[in-house]
Amino acid sequence: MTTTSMQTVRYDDRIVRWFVCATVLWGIVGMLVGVILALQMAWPAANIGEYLTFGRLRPLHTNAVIFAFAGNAIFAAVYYSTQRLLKTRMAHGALSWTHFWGWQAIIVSAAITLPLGLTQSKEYAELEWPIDIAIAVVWVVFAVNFFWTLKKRREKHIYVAIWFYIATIVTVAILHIVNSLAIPAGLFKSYSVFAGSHDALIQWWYGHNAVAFFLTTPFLGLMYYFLPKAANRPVFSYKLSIVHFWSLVFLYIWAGPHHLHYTALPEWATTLGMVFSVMLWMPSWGGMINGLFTLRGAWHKLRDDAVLKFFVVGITFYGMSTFEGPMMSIKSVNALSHYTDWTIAHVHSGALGWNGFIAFGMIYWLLPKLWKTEIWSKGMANLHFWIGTIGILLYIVAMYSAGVTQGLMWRAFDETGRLAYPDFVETVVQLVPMYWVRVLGGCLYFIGVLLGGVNMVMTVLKSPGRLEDTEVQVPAPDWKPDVRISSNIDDTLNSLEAATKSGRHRLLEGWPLVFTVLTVAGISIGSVVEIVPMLLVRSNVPTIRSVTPYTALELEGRDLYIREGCVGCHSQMIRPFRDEIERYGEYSKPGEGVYEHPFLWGSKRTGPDLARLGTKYPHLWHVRHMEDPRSTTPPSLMPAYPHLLSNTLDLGSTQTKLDRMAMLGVPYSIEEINDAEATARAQANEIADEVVAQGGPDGLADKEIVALVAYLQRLGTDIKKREGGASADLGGQ
Amino acid sequence: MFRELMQTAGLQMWAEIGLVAFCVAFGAVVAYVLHMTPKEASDAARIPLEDEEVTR
Ligand code: HEC
Repeated sequence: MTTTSMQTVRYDDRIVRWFVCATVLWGIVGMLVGVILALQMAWPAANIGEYLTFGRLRPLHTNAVIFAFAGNAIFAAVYYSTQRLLKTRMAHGALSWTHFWGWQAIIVSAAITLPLGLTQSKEYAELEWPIDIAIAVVWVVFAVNFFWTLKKRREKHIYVAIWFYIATIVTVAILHIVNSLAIPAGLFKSYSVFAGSHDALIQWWYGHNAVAFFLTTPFLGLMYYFLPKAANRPVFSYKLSIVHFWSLVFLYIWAGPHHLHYTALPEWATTLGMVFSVMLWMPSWGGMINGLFTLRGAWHKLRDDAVLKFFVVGITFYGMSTFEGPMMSIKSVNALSHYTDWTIAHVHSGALGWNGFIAFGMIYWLLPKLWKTEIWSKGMANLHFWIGTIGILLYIVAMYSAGVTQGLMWRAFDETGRLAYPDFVETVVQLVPMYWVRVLGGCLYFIGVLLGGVNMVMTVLKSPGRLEDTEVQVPAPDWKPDVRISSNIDDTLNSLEAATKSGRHRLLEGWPLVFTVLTVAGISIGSVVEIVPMLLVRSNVPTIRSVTPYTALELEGRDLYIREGCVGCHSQMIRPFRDEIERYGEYSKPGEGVYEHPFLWGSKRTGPDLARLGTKYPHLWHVRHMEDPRSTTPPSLMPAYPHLLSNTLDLGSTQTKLDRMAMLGVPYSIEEINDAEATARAQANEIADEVVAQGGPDGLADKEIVALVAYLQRLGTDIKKREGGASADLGGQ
Repeated sequence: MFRELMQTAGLQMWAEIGLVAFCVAFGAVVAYVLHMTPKEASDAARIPLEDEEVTR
């Protein structure tokens, strides 16, 4: 095998076409849901019925745009570029199609289960356990297909884009499996095996790295392939791309705890998160500079080339959000930005600007190649770009001002030393105009996407009927080490020597396995150092003796809180700041979370924090407020939940739920488990009677609302009990 | 109090391990890049541009 003979390769383009179509289709669905959510925030009457309220639609939106839109875009990019960079067809068509249809089936099941309220409530990991298993299986199919292709490759050097794909594939697998560890309590119900601050740490290790390894590394890989193609010149600095890659992979994995500043997480962990986040700024900008400089001498092409426009603005947004992210991870900035719309502005400059624009740039570049025809309308593609850009700008400007406004109002004190805006809803009312601007910005972006969809369909329609796979001639690989263990020792040694002689520089890329192991090592070090100490000191989380498990009814109420997605608007984590303590009460303690499977700290305060809500209002107030928040608080933006007053409370699996909690270490006795249903009924009757006594409606004893009220009235009351009882202490002091 | 507890548990060592691991890895990558000849780098950078040239 020494002469360079040529070989014929047929790339599988069909699978790429399908992934491209799926990207556009799910992009339209996911962003339509986004526009509906924006409208619901500005105008609560848009929460229609039981299944389409904000809390249930929000995870549908995030999952659809991340895993359906961005996911399919990533797969289109990987399937197109990997084959070409490695000069070989994908390893196995059946694996490719299993991947495609499996992934679409997962998306459809998400679109059905999330509005039904079937959720684990951990952000971007909401899907229930059977779907989680399906995700793991499909991901493994993808991985096998990818690594098998890597093994079959004819190009010796593994181009940097492939490195990014490898990092994506292995890391996403690890993140997904660890964060999804849960114990089923029925076909569509499960509880996280982690509790409280542990669960929070794992979740944000996952959540942050989902951003890193689902929305950043694969898109950088995509950029390193498609940008040089579109600009028709090699990447500005290949060396920079290597440094950029490794530092990104090593640094990103540590940054997760910056989502948990000033919470019940140890100081060192959040400081670590902060330091690494700030360091991340450098490799991120390395990537941005590398991308933008790739266009050196090609800037004039930008005038009428929509593809390059999308790429340039996309990369610029990448630079903006990777500057802003490290800034927001600085504790003092975070103190202001956390829980506000500032975060929403940040993620949308990343999602709409970086992910969306890079994906559309790629799609506009691919359309003519894949369907072997000119794009239907260049003008429309340019219009998509402009309308999208204006949409993003309106969106983020509105959300920045909303975020900063609310953050400042929350912490404002008047000259007498009292909160300037003690009534939370005062701060909400201020934001409504900006929420309308967001609706407008979102609509513009969405219209742009629709134009893209029309352009795609029209391009496809005018393509020549039969589309053959691209066929190319490539040099046969003469570099493949032909190491065989032969019976002759000399032969074996000779072939080994030949294999190593081919250059130590390229040894690393010559060994995808070694490379993958290094990547795994890189990300594992960060993960282990971050997570293991926390788990090791589990016994050290000071248990507060007055903190006891929820009653059976309260647990059911908590599950309703999870089902309705209240966590999408309400935090349950009071930070140790003067204004928060003043507003909500004593700050949250880690010991209060020991039975919280999963944790419900939340990440956004559209409504007030609920950690110390218990006993603040009478039962009847809650009944009326849940039935129609405008009846107790006229300017409220909260959705109405009248169905909670009419749906019958299902206590059929209460016993199983307590049993599963007990398996996770929540101290329920055998009797408590066995009597779960009866105890819950008794408490429900008590609450219903009190509602009547307070002048409320009759007949609520077997309705869902009593369970929710039981839960809400319990929130944060445990540590108050200690003031009465001498037996309890906070421990640890 | 939780914070104080974690502070005294001697866990900062873990953060130091992390930092050292990162620095070692970073040094290795930089060394690798410096060893790359300009030709190797430009050959690698051209891979995405080559793939269509060989089309029949
Ligand atoms: C769209 C965001 C949103 C969702 C979803 C939401 N809320 Fe609210 N919530 C608010 C806003 C805004 C307020 C403040 C105005 C008011 O009191 O209605 C509020 C207030 C509250 C209050 C009063 C807190 C206090 O201290 O005065 C409670 C209790 C409450 N919500 C419970 C819930 C529950 C339970 C759910 C889920 C079934 C839920 N909320 C879902 C936005 C939301």
